[in-house]
Amino acid sequence: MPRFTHLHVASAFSAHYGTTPPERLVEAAAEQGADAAAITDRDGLYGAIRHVRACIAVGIDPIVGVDLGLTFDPQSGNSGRVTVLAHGNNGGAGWAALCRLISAAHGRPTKRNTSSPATITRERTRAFLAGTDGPVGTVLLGADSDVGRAVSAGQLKDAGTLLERWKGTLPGGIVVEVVCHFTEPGDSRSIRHAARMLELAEAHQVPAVLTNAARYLEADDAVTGDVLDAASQLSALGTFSPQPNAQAWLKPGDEMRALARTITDYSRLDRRSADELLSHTEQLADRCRLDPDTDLQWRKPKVPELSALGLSDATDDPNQVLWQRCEAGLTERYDNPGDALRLRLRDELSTITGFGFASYFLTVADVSGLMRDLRVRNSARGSGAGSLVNYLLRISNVDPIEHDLLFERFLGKARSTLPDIDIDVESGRRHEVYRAIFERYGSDRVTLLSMQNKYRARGAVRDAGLALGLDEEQIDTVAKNVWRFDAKEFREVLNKKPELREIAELVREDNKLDLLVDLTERLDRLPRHISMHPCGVILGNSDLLSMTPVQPSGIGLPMSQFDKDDIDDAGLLKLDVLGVRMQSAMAFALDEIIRIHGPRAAMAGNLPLDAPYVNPDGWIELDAIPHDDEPTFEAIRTTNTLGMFQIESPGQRELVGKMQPTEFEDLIADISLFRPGPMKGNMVAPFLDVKHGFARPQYLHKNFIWFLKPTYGVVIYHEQVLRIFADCMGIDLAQADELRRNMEKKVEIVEQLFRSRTAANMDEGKRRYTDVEIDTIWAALKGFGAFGFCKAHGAAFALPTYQSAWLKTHYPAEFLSGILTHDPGMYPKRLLLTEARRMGVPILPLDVNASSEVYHVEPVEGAESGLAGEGGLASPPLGIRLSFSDVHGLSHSELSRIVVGQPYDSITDFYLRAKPSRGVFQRLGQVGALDSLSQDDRTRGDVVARIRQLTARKTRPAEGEQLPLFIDDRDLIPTGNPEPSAREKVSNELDILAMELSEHVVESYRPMLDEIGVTKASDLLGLWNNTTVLVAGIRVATQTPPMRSGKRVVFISLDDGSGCSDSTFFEDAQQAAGPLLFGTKLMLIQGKTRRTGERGMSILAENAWDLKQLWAQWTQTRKEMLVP
Amino acid sequence: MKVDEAVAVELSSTGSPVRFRWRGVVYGVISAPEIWVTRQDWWRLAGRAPRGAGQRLLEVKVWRVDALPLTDGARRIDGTFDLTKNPITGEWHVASVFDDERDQQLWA
Repeated sequence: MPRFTHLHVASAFSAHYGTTPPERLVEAAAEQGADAAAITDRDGLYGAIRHVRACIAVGIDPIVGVDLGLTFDPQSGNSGRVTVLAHGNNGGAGWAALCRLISAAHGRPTKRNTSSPATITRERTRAFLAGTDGPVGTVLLGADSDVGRAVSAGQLKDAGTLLERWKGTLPGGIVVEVVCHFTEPGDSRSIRHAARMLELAEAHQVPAVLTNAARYLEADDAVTGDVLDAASQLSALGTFSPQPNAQAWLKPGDEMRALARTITDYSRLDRRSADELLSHTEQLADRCRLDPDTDLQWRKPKVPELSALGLSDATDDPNQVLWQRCEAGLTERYDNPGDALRLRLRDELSTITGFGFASYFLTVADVSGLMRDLRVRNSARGSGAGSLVNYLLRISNVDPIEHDLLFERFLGKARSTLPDIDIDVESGRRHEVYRAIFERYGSDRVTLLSMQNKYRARGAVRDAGLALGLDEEQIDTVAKNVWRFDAKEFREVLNKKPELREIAELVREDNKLDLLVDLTERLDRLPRHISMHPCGVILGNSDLLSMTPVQPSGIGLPMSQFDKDDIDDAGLLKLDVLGVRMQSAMAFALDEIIRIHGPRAAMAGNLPLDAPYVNPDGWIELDAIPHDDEPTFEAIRTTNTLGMFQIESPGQRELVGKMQPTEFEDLIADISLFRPGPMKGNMVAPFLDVKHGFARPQYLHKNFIWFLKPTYGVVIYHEQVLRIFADCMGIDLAQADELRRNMEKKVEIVEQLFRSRTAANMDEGKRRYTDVEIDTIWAALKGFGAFGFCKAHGAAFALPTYQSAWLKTHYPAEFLSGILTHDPGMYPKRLLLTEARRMGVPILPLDVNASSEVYHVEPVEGAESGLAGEGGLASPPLGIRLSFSDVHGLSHSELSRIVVGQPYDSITDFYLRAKPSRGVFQRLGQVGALDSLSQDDRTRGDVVARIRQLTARKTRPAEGEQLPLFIDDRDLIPTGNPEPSAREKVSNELDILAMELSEHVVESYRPMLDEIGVTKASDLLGLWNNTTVLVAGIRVATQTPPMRSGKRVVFISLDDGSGCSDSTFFEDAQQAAGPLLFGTKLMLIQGKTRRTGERGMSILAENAWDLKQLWAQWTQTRKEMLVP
Repeated sequence: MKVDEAVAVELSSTGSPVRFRWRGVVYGVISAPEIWVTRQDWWRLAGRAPRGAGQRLLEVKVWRVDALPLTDGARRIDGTFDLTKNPITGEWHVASVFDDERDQQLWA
């Protein structure tokens, strides 16, 4: 059967152009009988690795190219697009040329160059594609090329000249691409246009190939294409010239062959030309078939050379260096490393060196050392914490021996691609770390990872709405309400979810909105644009840029066109350097501690004065603090966990309240349990019952007691599953991990293996496990295996959780100032202020002379001391000074001017030197930031009046003009203006700072709340279970966590100034609340109290109201009552 | 010149237009039709665009033919016609007429 190979195919990774994922295109090509498939995305290789992977999967050859813009030539007015295909089976020369050509087209990464269009000149293609033994790539001159455009404009002579130039530029590497989409006769891509292109090729002795310049799999997708065109043009359909028709789909071979004949029939050439056209197409396809192994070094690790790590490529052996470093680490980390430890180290090292991964570990250790040198807080996360080698190399700070973590869970014997090691760093210094890595290894070995942002419901609604020309307001109404579900299911969920009730009504009434629903579904999950991955850095050898194209990232560093799913197959090392705000917050707190207390730090934190982890100068080695600090656990147990890493959410507060953790292992368990699987599997209840002594532990088997004891007999961790497999079946832990990985997909095979091997496991002639025991153990494995959590992961996570809890307990003001500055949590800052006040830490108002760009700790004169209840620690008289960073509309340059100019003598002085904009000046006055520059007898109203006087002048007095050295204008501040009311102040503060200081926002509703009998959050705990209550407050969190039943449950937390109330909405209550569920900030909720633990009380919600609406009604009725 | 008027069309055995009556005049097709594909503004015409309906919503097939008037009439044209067939109703339309000389007279 004759074959036809599509050589010009855009996948969905041609953002805002293609509509079909590469995998589906490849499958379709294979179904059509092709034995090779090409991908030629616009501007890059974004989908290329997926394409190659898909081709390997269906057993056809991959062809890879790019559809690239030609640089506009102002002299000739020529521009357009060409397609470049890499030649294959040349040891990667074609692939490398393609990568470097694309990188060049995107231009150098500078801070300014963020998204300039990728274009290349004709002359430059030669530099990349010429090759030493003939071209390593072919340029396809199609309908949109300069040649194709000249032909469609009827300028055949010019077209000939241009074609000759291309021939001269890249001899043997040029073909004419004939495309026919049956457009209006004479137009580009019409039969006539195609025929003229074919004739031109013949006349100039250039081979011609036939493609369909495909941008979708099926013609149906052309509608999606229209919407994408509108999105990329940022204009509504009907206001620009759309694609001519829906012909650019992946037509089957028969149709393409018929098309070849139709075109030749329209040309002056004889019928043989059709066959020639088709055979040239296949010849080019053959030339471009890639061999993943030889052309891409598929899945083969490409890590930095030893010389890049400061070692010698010639004389150093990576395996040996790794041994030596680990030996050194052994004596540093452990007092008396015994034989067991050395045996474990030997096992780990033999696996690592067996895979040839020694350089990889050396590289990661090197990067980690680089961060320590910069004094950037960092800690490894993930299964890597299970490796002793990682601990010895100081990549991880979790002791795998102490927590019984297994190396095999991290790196088994079957794994052949590089393992993942993720490192958390201070988010504030992440870019600094990136730059240091680039500097150390060079930009020929380092690039940032990218990620594809895909259409989700909200973005899809916005772009589809724009395409349909709906007005902003209409789009907004829908967009605000669509989230928490897949856009693909829009129509399905529309009539199911109570909060979409109003939208469903609108859709029924409005045709356009009905259409919007269909278009939104069509856009779902399509790649939208590429951006820098939030944490990935790729490290490779010095040939990295021959493996991946790079483009500007927006921060002045190059970024790969590959995303995280491409890295393994490309054989590249991905280092996840995650910016974690909590790490920044903790680093900030540590800096504040040393700044405020210096050598008195230990005393200030109620620590032993000889604590070894506090340096004499007051620097605290947070990674060295003891993990059994009772005040810290006591603070956690109160469930006042706001600000503590990962245990501050309402759900976690409930779990922590039930669990009452007493040791570090409990925190690991807590974090591991708070996930969909264990919650659904009800692993929490037996764990808690045994921990609190309500039940005896049920060990699956006496052989397991030693490793199930820490979790009270409940199988929680992968590590425990591994031990069970290993002990039952008499296999090693690496084999056990292979089985665990197959538990989900091949459960029957695993079960059969487990039963037969365990039954055959003999001990001195006796079976170790009876059939009944095997049944019990298997049932448990099957139930828990898939839900289990990697303990190494949990342990790595628990470390910052514990550290943040420790800091909050011992240094509340310093810690909260770090939290306020770096904002790592899920709650609004206003709630953190409530928490600070609750802990007795005063909040100091914004002051142009005292505030700065961060939240600083400040000693407070005459402040009340003493923090009741929480571990009995005396709180130092420290307050937190609000920062300028939250002032609405304050620009970066204004902020730095204000800070540089401090201190100010007077309001005029501030106005002249800090040069605030009129609005900012006024807002600062309204929130009292200038009060300290005023007289005691003046009100806030007087200060604002003075600001108005100053800004009323048309021009700002120039500096120097009538400027004595000290301007004391205090007397100039007018008098007699009233102090704003509390409600006004709160409203100003909320508008300007997005948080209130004078009093809680709910306070102004107090008369009504008192009258209808609303309970304060802090009083809930004293009520009986199942009491009907009303709670009010401002929404601080909304969550729809995974539930045991699988039904949706909505948690809403309200803050009323006294604390937080957590309400649970089940189906009925969700129906009752309707659109209020996700849409309202100030709420009143009615429900029944539900005790969740010793220190926990939540509310089973029955109904909810909008507080503002209620207020309006309430004041209305009161007025009516007053009027006779 | 855009027209878009319904016409009665007589087809050949292969489904190509042979004769059609437009504005009271019968025309005979004198060329092999050149078939091309145009598009329509589906977002104005359709209330829905579910998956699978795309091509039908978007594309309109056009037969471009040269034709001569076969009968007498007030306005006879010797020119090129774009004939389209509505994919749903099967109704034929004259989409456009190309006749530079007579353009002005006809639509003045």
